[in-house]
Amino acid sequence: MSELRYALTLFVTGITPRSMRAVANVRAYCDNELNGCYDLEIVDLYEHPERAQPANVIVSPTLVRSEPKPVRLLFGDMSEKKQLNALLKVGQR
Amino acid sequence: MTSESGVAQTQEIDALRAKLAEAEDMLRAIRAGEVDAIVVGGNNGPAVYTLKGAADPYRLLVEQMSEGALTISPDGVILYCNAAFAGMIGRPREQLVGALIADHVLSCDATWLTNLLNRTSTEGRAVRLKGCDGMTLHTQFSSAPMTIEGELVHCVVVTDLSRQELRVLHEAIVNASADAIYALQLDGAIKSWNAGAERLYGYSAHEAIGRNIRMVIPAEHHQDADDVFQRLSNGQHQRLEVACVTKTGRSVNIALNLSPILGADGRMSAVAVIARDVTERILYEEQIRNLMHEVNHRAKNLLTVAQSITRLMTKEMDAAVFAEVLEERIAALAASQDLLTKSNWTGVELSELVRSQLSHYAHLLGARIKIDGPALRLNSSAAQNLGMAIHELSTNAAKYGSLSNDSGIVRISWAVLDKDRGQQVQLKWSEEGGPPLSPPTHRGFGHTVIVSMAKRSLDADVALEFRREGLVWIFTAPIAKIIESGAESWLARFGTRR
Repeated sequence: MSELRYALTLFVTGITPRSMRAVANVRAYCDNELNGCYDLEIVDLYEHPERAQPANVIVSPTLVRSEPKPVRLLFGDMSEKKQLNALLKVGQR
Repeated sequence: MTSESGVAQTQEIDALRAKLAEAEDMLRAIRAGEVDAIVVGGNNGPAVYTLKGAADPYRLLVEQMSEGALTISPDGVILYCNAAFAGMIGRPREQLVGALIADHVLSCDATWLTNLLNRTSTEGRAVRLKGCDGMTLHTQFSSAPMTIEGELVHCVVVTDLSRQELRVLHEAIVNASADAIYALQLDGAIKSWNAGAERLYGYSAHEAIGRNIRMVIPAEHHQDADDVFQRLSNGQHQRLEVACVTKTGRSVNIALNLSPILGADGRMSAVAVIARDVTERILYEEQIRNLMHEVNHRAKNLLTVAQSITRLMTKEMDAAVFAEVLEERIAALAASQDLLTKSNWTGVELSELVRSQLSHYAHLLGARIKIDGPALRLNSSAAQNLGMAIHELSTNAAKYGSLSNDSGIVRISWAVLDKDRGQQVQLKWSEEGGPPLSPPTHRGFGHTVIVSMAKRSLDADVALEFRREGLVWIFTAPIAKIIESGAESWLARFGTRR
């Protein structure tokens, strides 16, 4: 059985405090909880606004889990570990 | 069927519930002020609306500055980096944000960086970055801790030292250059002026910068300068030689190499100039032209003499002797030529010329051939003509005169005499102890050489006496016709300069 691998994209807007916090929180969560089984891309919407619509992203920061399916979205600075757990379903791994 | 469609409906309802929960969650996040921006589609493509727009000018400033800018969390995660920093590393920003700064600096610098992040002091240090191409980039990190909404981050400004080092190196090269290197504005105003320009034009950088380059261009060439600027603005590099005027008023010939400097809009914004003093080179070229002309002239003279020898000899001797005598006479001419060439055509010492022409009788010098006279430097014409005459006299002496037996003597002497018509050089060849002489029955080429040619070429008086004790030849000519004078001295100067 192949190991579950998460494909995550964090959409932020430049240097705003919430964006910076979101980056730090997601990075820390992934390092501590996902045991290297993830690909994390961070997209600055100021640089790439065109990336928002295909990913159904309307607000920033948004974390998109595109794998495993179904696609799930989480909003805010990602400071709630409970929410991240729910999105990434750590308990089911 | 009923059971399968029921399962599908349940799955669809679950998916819709999940989407609805997401939508509600997003709305809650917006209402609670947990988001910074909203992305909206529009006629001109998607647009990002920042909910706290006041930060925009600062964001633009940071994102567009030429130095690198980073925010780093206390545990070393890059929270933000601008395009300049991404350019230094050589990776897209997306790959850097969220990465550890320690992964992008050399390990010895990473330790310092990690320690720095645990402190709250403002610090700076040289840090070597790891570029994606394996190159190490020398930078200066200036870090300041900052609390943003209650959380500590480190704001770091990264200066690319290699660019600064390169700039310093370029400045050193420009200042060390022997050439003048300077930059001009489009109106001709001087923007920069190196040490070479100071030496070439005589104006210090302080005096030159801000003034118009026309100050070193003669007024009659101002229009030419405008034309050059016009061609430069069309993107054409220009090379030309012009006469310029230095601060002291001296005219110098200058080779110019001009290049347009293009601005960000692709249009010429300034002109780079490299200038070199070519006055000496032009002088050399002129001297070489003169030298070529002179060599050509002398070669023609020599050929004329050789032609004349041949023509006169054919009249007086048969073919068998002709070849041998012709060879000897041309050798005599060549010996004088050798002496002149050795001295760069600056003249020949008379004593050297005599010894050279008598080299066949070197064993008799001092004993039966006695040479006496002051130092006297002959010019090239005198050297050629007297050389031929001495050769002729020595040949005759060996055949018929005092060198044809075992005891005869030849005395060759010269002196400078003060006469009514000015200083004269008198050269005397006198023989004694040879067999009894009688004057020749006809005058051949030998007579032409020792009397007629000397008279004609050197404006001389020549006396030829067939005395009982031997032949006496006395040559007297104005000193100005004989000795090396200023007329040929440019060759001497050219010789010593090389």
